[in-house]
Amino acid sequence: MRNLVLVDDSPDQIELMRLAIESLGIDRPLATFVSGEDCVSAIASGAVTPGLILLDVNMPGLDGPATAARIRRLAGGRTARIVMMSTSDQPEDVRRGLEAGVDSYVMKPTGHRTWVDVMSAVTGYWYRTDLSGCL
Amino acid sequence: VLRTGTIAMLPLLAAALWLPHTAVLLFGALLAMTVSSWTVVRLLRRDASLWAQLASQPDEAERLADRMACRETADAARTIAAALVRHAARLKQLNDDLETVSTTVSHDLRAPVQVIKGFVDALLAGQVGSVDDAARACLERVRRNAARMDELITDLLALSRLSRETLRYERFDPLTLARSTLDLIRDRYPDRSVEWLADGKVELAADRRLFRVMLQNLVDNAVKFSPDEAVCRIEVQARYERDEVVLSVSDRGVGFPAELAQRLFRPFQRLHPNDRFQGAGVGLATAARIVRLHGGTIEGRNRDGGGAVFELRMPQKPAPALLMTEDE
Repeated sequence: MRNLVLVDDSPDQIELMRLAIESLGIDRPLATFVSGEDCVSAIASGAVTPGLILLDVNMPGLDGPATAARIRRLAGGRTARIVMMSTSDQPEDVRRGLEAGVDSYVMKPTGHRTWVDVMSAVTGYWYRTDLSGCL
Repeated sequence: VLRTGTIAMLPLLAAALWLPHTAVLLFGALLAMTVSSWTVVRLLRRDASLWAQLASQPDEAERLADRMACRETADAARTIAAALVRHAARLKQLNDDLETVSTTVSHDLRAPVQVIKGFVDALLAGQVGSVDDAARACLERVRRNAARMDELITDLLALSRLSRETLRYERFDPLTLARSTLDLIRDRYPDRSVEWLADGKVELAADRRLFRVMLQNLVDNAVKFSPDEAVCRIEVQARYERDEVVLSVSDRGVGFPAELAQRLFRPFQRLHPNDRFQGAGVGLATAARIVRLHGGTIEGRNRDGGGAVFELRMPQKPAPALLMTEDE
């Protein structure tokens, strides 16, 4: 089974996503990284086979768009679904993400939306659009 | 002149009319002859002072004086213009710094608040084990406060972005635009009945999108502060006055404490108790900022018999940019 990959420089955000994934009963093997560099080298070495990658936009070092661009150049990352996640809804941030080759751009939960709502939408998108047949 | 021998020159005769009465008569006569300046010198015949010569130069001295005045005025204008440009640049720098601070602060505040809210959501949803009722009540409070802070940050961000907007002018009817905000307001207050009374017909050149946000804030404010009315009556009027469009939005609500009127348009000012009316206190600040971006003014006052009226005056023609960039 391919990995569900979470990349965010905040361990708190990763924990929130993990809790939501758990409560949704999603049983894909989870891989989490607190930097873009770590994620890229894990995919390059084959330690992780990403199916869906949730990528934070603003990170120190390799930021979201730069990480996405590197992943797209790796054999293991070409067919993965990459969803950029941010607290920003600014067109400039969205454009940068889409140009780096991500499939979708999602706002982190604000207002009444919870992480469960967001994760449910994102994994639903993954299941619908993954054509590899080996989630 | 006869006594002292000093040459007297009056380049502007008209300015010399403060002289004694007899002299005024003389000067008056000279002025009537269109003599505009006068020079008096002592003439000597052999060794005795005898005679004073009167020489007049119609207009020449005046033109000279004008030219000198022109040059001085131009110099002064150049000095003032240079000072203004320096001042504008400095103000722009300060303003940019301030904007950067508020945007950065808003962005960086948002992430931790969302983490707090996220964990409370997870706890309340039972994702991390069971929560008893007392703890649940506390967590609900934390959630409400985190949500409120998130809302404040969102509003603060929106407000600070507003100042950097480039206005895109188009012509439209502001009353029709105001009417179009009602759907959203009805969604926001589903249990309220709103009566809409519009009067006047004007056309305005402004940024339509921002103007809609502005009107939405005024209408929302009117509905929000009319809680006790069975039907919330909103009156919107528009008219031309000299070169301005005057637009007013009135309600029959609770009005505001008159002594706090100067705080109406400041951000995060709330003139009523928290538990009575929801909101962050940015609606009117946002509205005022949009009006001012267009070079307009806004004021609020209480109506006789209850309610508030907000009146804005917009220039009919787009306002020239107040601060020019270096290129301009």
